[in-house]
Amino acid sequence: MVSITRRAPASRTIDRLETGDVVTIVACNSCAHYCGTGGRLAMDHLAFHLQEKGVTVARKEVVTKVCIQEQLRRCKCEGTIVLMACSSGLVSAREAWPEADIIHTNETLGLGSYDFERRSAILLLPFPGHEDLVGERFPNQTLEDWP
Amino acid sequence: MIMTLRTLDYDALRASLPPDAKVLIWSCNTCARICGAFGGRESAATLEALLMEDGVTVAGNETLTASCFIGAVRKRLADDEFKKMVLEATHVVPLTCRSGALVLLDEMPHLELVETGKTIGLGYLSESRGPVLTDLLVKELELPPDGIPLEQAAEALGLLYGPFKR
Repeated sequence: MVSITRRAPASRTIDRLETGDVVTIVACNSCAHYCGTGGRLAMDHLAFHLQEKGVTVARKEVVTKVCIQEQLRRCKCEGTIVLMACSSGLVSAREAWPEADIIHTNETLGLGSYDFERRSAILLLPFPGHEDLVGERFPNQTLEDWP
Repeated sequence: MIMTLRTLDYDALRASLPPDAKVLIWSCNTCARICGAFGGRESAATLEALLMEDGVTVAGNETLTASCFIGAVRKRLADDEFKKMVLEATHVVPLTCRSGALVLLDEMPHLELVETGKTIGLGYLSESRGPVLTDLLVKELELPPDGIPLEQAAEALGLLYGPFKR
């Protein structure tokens, strides 16, 4: 079972960043990767967009599972952390880096399964407020829709 | 990380198995292991030992990294010797999340599923607090923004934490 995430609106996330800001992108390479909201490809795409906007991406860190907190210890972070993970990953990161300014790029919708053949995850058990999305597949956006 | 708690104690599990049951214990070594050792290789071995002490026939004991990946289960079942053992079993006891249990049921439909866990939400493994529940599928509990330790959630929800024990 995987946690199902989709990208949160930029107005609530990376639009907070301005030209000259320095960030580290931390991307989860498990569930979020399966939903297209984490992993190296989505991270590189976001980094490209931020750099175009004049934001300095000082570091890019791919973490196998952000929800296993000890895996965050090897990350070297500089500036604001842009976190591509689920809501549990966010709580994990906040506890690991209590002083850090963290921008969380994703919205967590519930739990589901991953279909390797179609390379997408399906929402099966929604968290409150997302019941209408049961059965939908994620990613439901292409990288070109980012951000 | 998917958070799953135990719904049965050992005696209840034992009582749910008929005398002629041939049990396959199937566990996950990722999320379920981290949920206070509800699952994982060691917990599966402990359960196997308990059942055998009580005269239950254990046909097999398997642990995968993640049973929620259908491909991983199918790959294991592609092994002829393993498949033969599975076909001789009558019951499967999944030490997995709900999704893992459903995959087992789909892939081994001749087995009776003896569910022992309830998947309650999402969490993480804190270095200082152990497994922490952060997002709930059930409505019986209010969570603070930083979540609560899974063991505490088990108490609040009337569920069991940790591996099977006598």
